Amino acid sequence: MRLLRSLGIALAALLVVGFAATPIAASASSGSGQKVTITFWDTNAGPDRTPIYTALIKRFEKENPGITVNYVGIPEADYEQKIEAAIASGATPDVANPGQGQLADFIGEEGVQSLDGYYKSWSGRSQMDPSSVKSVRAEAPDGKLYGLPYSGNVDILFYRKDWVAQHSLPSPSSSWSAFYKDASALTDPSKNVYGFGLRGGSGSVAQLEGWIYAESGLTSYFNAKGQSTLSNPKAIAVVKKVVAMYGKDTSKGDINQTYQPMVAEFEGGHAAMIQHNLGSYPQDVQAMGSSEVGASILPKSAVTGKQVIVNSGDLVDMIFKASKHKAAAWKFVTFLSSPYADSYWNQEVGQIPTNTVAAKSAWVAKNQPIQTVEKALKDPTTVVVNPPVYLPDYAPIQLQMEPVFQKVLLGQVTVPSFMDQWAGLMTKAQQQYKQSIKHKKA
Amino acid sequence: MPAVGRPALMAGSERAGGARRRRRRAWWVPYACLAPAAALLLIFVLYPVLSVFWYSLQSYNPTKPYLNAFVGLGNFQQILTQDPLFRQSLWISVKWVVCEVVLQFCLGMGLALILNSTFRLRGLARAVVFSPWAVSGVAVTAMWTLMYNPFGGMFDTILKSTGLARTPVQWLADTHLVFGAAVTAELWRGVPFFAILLLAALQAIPEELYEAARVDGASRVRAFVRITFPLLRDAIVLATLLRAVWEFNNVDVLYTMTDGGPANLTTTLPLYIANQAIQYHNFGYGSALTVVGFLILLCFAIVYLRLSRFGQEI
Repeated sequence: MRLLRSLGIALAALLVVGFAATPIAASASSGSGQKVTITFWDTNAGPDRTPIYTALIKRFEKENPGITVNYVGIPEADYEQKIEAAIASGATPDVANPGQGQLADFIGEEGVQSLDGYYKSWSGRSQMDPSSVKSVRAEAPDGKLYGLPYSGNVDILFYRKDWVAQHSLPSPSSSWSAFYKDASALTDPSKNVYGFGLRGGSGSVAQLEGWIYAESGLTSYFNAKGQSTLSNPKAIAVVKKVVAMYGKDTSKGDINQTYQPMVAEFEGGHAAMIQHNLGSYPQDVQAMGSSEVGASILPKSAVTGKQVIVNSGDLVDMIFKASKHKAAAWKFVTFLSSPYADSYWNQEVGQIPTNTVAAKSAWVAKNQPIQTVEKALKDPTTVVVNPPVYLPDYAPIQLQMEPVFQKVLLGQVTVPSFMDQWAGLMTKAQQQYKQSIKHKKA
Repeated sequence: MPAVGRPALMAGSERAGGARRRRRRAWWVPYACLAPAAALLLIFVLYPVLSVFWYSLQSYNPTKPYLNAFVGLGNFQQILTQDPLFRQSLWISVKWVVCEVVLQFCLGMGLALILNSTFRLRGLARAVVFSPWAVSGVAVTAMWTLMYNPFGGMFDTILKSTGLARTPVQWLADTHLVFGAAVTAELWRGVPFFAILLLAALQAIPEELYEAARVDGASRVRAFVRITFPLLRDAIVLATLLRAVWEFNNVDVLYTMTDGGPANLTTTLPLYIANQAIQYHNFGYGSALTVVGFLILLCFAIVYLRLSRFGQEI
């Protein structure tokens, strides 16, 4: 009994001391000005990407002996939820690296620090790709810069170069008609091989968007009246073709397919083509060899003859408003966008550097899919369409429409009805956003 | 006053003083001991519950602060009159709970009866039967998704090698199969819960009752119906109620295995709530859905306990 009482007293004392000691410890580290520890949340952690940051942080800490970076890896699927909870509870890290699409939400939640003050006096700003910086700035209703871009991305058509050659087929990237012809010709259900691996599960609608605008030739998400172009007959015609492929040139199991199973289907020899962003390329080449993997931007629109590329959104490094070490955090963020770090990270991942010096690295010239993007961007007729990632509802609408797209694939909902519903939500979100800006200005 | 009397008097007054001190201490010490637990309950249980009730009356989306406002019962009105997905997800939840609880109970009862009998390697058999209970939902999903894989999964291999199927069976993509496939995976994990609980209750039934029944010429079935089942009643009621509540709130297996798909065919009410609150950021509407789910479970528990006469004499 006495032992239990003693244990209880000891535990209570420990708790009291623990509670009392926490603010003391926090104030000591923040007030000393000697050694600063910043926390960095990597929003796409995993065996492929964590080692890249480990190497970069090691180098950063060597160059900046007064700053220690505490790396916290978060799986991609969970990061938005975790950051939102952190903002709501005031327990944010110092730095995180979300996608541009999610940055708008965090700005809306008033959890992100504007970087303009730092950016104006930063010597490295002349090296940043101006279009990327402009695109990130456009996300904020107040036009301020809330994130420093470090990587660009677009949708790519990956295909089995060897199979296309064996069947004497035209390159699927040459035209949309060649793409559909190849998908049909390369399908052999008896061998569990399908012409196309469709993403029907999580992420399906985001990917479908890139396809719709590339094939239809539509060059804007909204018309002059602020109405979504998704219910345009050209867009509807594209989705009808996509849906017609399901179960014929694709596996029926594709209805649930997410990113990783889709890539596995391609790499496992069950799909001749898939659509995904640049990030898949290194993994595909490693799994299959560069002689087998073909990669190109999506074909030109047969309707308008234009090459339309939907910007998949940059990845950005942002500093949280609640950070107590903003200067150190800024130092780390600028390091990640420096020529060395930006080149190293993007080379490992296979994406486009946003630092113009890094973009001239030798590896970029040898990266086949990036070269197809660069070539298209040099063509004056190419149109780059920027999705409305500034809309807080943009990503939630995509998620909301995913089960409806599955119903379309199952024949339970018609394509026009699906597109009308989707367009209606986008138009409403755009109107609400514009009203909110007016309200703020007033 | 005799010398010996003084210490005795002192001892007596000390005892009286000690008793008074104990009495004085007695009124606040229990409260002080309970205070930490009460504080934790208030902070971590009562506050979140009350905040869910409060948010259910708001239109609250942290990404669109310009639209946040008090809407009274507006969210509930929308749920009950304009939300077909609520009705669909509630129906799927009910199907899910009924299938899981009934099947888990029947199989768990069968296993408990087998494991209660005497046979060689009974200890090993018990360990094997109980082992799925130790597996996490995500691990269950990983294992069953591999078995359901249409390209070389266990079921695909068996069906093809026995000639029962020529083309791959899309267990998780076929609208007619996906619900059953998910139910089977969860069933595998849930059966041991009933088996453990019912086995413990079976072992508490006195052997003399069965001996008396045998003497009276009762068959095994009659002994089960007349002795085992009535004496297991409270254990069965408690186990089925707990399991029904857990299965109603189950998220892990369905979220990781089907993500509610395809086409919302496996979207239960908790998954729908998670989508509304976490993915679409509609925390006000998600809170209102949570309140509705809570009230449904509360009513179910009260009616079920009343009808089953839980805790009453047989």
